[in-house]
Amino acid sequence: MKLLDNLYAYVWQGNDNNCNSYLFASALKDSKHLLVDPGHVSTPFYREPGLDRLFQDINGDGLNTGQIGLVILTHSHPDHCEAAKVIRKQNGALVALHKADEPVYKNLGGKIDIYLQEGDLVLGAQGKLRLKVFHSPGHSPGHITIYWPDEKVLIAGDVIFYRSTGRVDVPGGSAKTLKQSIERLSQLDIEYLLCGHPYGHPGMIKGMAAVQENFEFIKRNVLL
Amino acid sequence: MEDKRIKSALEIAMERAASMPGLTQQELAEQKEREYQPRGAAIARRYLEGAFKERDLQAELSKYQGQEGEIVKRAFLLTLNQSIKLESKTMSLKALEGIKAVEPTAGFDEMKRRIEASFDEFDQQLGQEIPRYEALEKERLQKLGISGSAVKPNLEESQAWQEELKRIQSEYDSRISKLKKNLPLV
Repeated sequence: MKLLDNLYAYVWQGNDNNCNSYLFASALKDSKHLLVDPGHVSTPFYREPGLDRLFQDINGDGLNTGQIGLVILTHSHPDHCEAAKVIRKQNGALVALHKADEPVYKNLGGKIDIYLQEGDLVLGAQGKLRLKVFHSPGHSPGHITIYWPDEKVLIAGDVIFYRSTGRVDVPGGSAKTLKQSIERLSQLDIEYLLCGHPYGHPGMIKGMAAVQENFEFIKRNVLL
Repeated sequence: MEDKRIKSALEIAMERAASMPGLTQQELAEQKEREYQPRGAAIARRYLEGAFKERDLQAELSKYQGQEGEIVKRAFLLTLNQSIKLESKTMSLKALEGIKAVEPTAGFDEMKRRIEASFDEFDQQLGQEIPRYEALEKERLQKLGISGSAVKPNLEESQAWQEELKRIQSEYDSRISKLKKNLPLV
């Protein structure tokens, strides 16, 4: 689904757990695409075809999945990263992840081409897409979020959802650092909060007021 | 009356063993090697793991005397010598200290200094080459339209760097191997 000019959102529609994916079309040189969080190849319990569905949806938007040149993983949990190995192998796409999440990703058999650390991410031949990478640990030690200041978009991964937050009862999770990450992200101007899962809501919160209200709700009711 | 008692299996085995020729000197020596070599190697491994200090090594080895003591000491020194490897500087330096504590031969300190210098030079060369290859990888990424302060290439996946690393490692491996040959083995 086209969300903005060259930003597409793919909200997981299956019954099993899988993540939402986001794609910046023609973000790289030679019109190659950037895909954030490709999710599972197939889901763990019901064996729903995660990657096939995602590719069908991307192709349905008139985009060529063979043109995916960079895969950014917000973190290294399998429901976000499993399909990255396949896309890297099929397309020769590069895979980017924060170094602190490398051990888990390597255990899953993944290979990392680029370590993403906090800073500016400039994409395209003339640097036409300027993103900011924030290190936002708590759900995992190397969790990152991606902010697009021009359009006030935050791809939040599993840091924050609609009325909820990412789990911290997972290896490397920390309630204290997640709280700090959320406090920090809540200071940004966000028009589109794009979450990593459609938990009880598609996971895309639109409008600055709605986004702020969601942050406030979480601060009041979740981050105690 | 004829004795019809049946010989036990033990009696038969003892008779056969008595009629067998004894072990030769060489076989006896080999048997000793097989028995005592693992003990020397075990002392070396336990030392490297931190179970003994350098000052305890002589006492530990002197529990074995004569020919057995020589075998144990030789296996100990060989194990430490084999533990001096480029990929583990800390263990290599500890192995050198262990050798020095047990067999402080003339010229040992100079050899140790040269081995340590090789490790330091290896680290220095990596320190120079890694940023150079990172810059090359960043250039390559920039050509693909990926740049910015958030981007740090993973050299593990860079074929060019892996080839260069192999070349540097091979150079220093060979240098350290040559130096190790001058360390005492008995």
